[in-house]
Amino acid sequence: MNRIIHTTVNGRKVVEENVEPRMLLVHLLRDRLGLTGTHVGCDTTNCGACTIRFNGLAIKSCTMLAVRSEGAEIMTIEGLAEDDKLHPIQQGFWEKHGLQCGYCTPGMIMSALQLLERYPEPSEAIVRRELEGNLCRCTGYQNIVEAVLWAGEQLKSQESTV
Amino acid sequence: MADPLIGQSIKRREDLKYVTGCGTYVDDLTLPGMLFASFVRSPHAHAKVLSVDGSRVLEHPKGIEVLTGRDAVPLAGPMPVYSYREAAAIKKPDYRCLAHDRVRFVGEPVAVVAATDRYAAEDVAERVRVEYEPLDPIMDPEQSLAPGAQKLHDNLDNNVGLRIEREGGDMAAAFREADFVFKKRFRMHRHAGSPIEPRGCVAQYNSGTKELTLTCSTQIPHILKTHLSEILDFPEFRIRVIAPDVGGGFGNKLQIPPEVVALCLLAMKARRPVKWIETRRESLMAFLHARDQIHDVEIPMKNDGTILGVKAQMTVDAGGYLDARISGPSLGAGMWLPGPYQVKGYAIDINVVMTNKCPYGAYRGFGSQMGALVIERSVDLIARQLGIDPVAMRQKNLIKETPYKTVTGHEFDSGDYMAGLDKALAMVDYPELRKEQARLREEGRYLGIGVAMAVEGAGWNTYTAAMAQHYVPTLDYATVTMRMDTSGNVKVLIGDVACGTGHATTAAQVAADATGLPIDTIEIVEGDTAITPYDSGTRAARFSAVVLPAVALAGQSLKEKVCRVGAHLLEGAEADMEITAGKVHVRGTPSRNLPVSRVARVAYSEVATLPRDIPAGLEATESFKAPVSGLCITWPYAIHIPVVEVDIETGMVRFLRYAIVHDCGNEVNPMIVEGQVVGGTAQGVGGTLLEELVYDDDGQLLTTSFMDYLVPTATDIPHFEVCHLQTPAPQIPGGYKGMGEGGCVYTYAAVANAVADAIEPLGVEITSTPLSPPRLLALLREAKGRG
Repeated sequence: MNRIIHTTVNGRKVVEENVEPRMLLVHLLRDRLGLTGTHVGCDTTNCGACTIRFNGLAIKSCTMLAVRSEGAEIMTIEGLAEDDKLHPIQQGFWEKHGLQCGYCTPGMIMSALQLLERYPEPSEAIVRRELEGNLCRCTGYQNIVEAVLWAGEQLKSQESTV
Repeated sequence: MADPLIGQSIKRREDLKYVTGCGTYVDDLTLPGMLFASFVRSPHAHAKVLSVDGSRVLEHPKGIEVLTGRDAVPLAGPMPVYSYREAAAIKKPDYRCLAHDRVRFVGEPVAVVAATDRYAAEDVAERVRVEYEPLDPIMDPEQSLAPGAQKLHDNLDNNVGLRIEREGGDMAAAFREADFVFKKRFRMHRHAGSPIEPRGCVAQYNSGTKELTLTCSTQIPHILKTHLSEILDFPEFRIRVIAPDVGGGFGNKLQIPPEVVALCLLAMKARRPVKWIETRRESLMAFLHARDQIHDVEIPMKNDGTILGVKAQMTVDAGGYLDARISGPSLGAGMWLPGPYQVKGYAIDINVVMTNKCPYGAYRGFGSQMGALVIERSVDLIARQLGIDPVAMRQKNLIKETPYKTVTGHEFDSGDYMAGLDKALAMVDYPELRKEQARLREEGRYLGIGVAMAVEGAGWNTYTAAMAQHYVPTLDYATVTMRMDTSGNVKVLIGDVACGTGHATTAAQVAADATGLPIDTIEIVEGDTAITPYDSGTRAARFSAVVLPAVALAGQSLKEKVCRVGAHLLEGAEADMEITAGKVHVRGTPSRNLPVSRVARVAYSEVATLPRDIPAGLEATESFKAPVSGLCITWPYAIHIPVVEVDIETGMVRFLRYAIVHDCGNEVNPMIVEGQVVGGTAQGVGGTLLEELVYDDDGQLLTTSFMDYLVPTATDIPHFEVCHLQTPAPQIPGGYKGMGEGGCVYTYAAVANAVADAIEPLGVEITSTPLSPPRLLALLREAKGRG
């Protein structure tokens, strides 16, 4: 039986009718809401291209049913920048050539967001470990690590000027 | 005069859209009335197709259309196949977009359905009833070659799709002069590129204009268009192929996907746009496989370590059909056997044989990594046998001077391989590493140092038009159009595709330097066949060596046109005009200038004020033809030295460091080049240690998800130390060689050498990949059993 979902995505109220119970959250975001920045790269929760922020946690939206998002607060890649001001993680990926084809990038950035909350001053080893759930085929991860470390530095200095 | 942008690691101009989720990949496209396709695929590796019943599809409320293999036979011709250099020799198995009478690999498409949403499409696909009569599959390429083997294709005499026999230099002399002949079998396993974005396409047919429009995740929009025209007998000028943002290609997306052909037929039948996006499972089963080869090599040697020649009997496991490009990695593997060494001769005998597996196609490296694995492992093994240091043996045999005419019939244009090797050895402090290795061995730890080097080929002079179904000696070329608008901004139109390769930035750097215009007024447009000139696509590392020179020529030409109008407006001589930072001025007198925007306005809107002999508008189209014939246009090279530790209890390989010295000539954007080197090497690491496509004896693919097919994660890949050397390509304007194959060519050899070096005291001989933990443990157990 199809459901109605009430949720909040990128700060906006969303009401979606006729949602099949089997619909994946990633498809609700992409196909219903037009938020195509979140990508699908596998069938088995391995690649992380679908990573979003759900009630404050990074989750893989291909592995959550859309109906579970009732009452939740969701942020996708499209909600990360404030107006035209990029989040330091987004800026870091740009500065450090942390992307090539860009397909894994939104998921990487959303994972990195959680990573830097948990480890504000991560080592390279911690960055690599915490990003194990996000696959990249283009970059060999080297510049992704640089990007996250750079962003960590930026966030730290923003904190200290507050 | 502004500082040239060429050579600067400027930030990429295309990244804003990617970091904000505004990229447009094929699955992001929605069209009014669009349907979703789902393919019905064979569960058998080999079977007759007795019947296909799609009647229940239309009974489903969301089921709109169905197409079977038999429906498709009169509507679409066979899939194309090329043969590099061995023209008439390639066989033509009956390879159709949908199987109609027989299936030859698990996952082969048999029918396709269209439904109103992607979930319903899978429901509806399950309603198609296919009756099969299973046949015994052939999973071993050597069994498939054996006389009397079951024929996989009735229209062929046997299962050999192509035979290639080539030799060069003087192998007879090499054998005559030999003190001994080293003989060994090497094997590289089946694996695949697996870009994170799988294949996908949206096809739509407009019955009013009779136009077929495809948005497809492809590296070759123009070539795809030409092939579709042939296969569908559809006028080429009414087909439009648009490559949107492509989430990784790596050569795999050079395929002419049978699914795309079927999708076109479905779109024409349904009279509604249809979208197909493959699942990862489908991708692993039915997208292109690669790399699966067996080489039996004979290397005539002198006792002092001189390599006299290389001879190989090669078997390539092509899968159930011949992918269009299968002859490339087959030939490539053979041509790369002599490596960077001075040898007297080479001889290759290649059997490209079919089995009941997914077809084998192009993947980064295109066979060169197999040739490199064979020769570089052989050098290490022979050095061991002779009691010579493997580095010293390399130095003895390395090509010392370029240009160098190889026995394979090419000329390595420029490069100092000895200096590159020295540099790499210095980077890791090789003598110290050997001491470290000895110390650790006494502690029962196994450190390994792998050295591997090769000369890569960039810019393959292969077919550049789909019509070259027989190989004709051809030259690669690129045509670029630069079009200035009425405000003085420029669009640069290129028919290839950026699939992570940074073209929007590097082409703009070259265009800015060539025209004198600010880079912010230049946009690169790629991938749409309606807009861009014909181009053979993003492949073979050709962008730097072939496309960028065309960009420079078009820029020069456009600049001349702007200067011509500017000279008239400034009342100066055309030959004295220059453009700097977007202003046209007399050379040496920058104060007397006009902004290019003013010149453009005149050229487009105030044409009456121009003299008769100055044409209106500001647009230039120029072509660059490769200046060198032969297999490749230019020859980058690299040396890889990984240092590993092997845990003999777990079979895990840990990288302690990985040093790379590479030389791809002049670099437009060193940051982008390094990204390619690192990315390619990472794929090589995955391919050597982790990734494996495994079939069981019944032909079922066991690795159908990323849980089993292990694409490396951030903890599997080490930090790479990269040193860039730049020996310009003497015959390429700009001196660029290209680096798109990245580190893929060298990694298998380097890592295999490192692992072998580590566990050599335990009596393990490494001659095949992958070196995954279970396989290493098996080798270790076996060596222990022998010893």
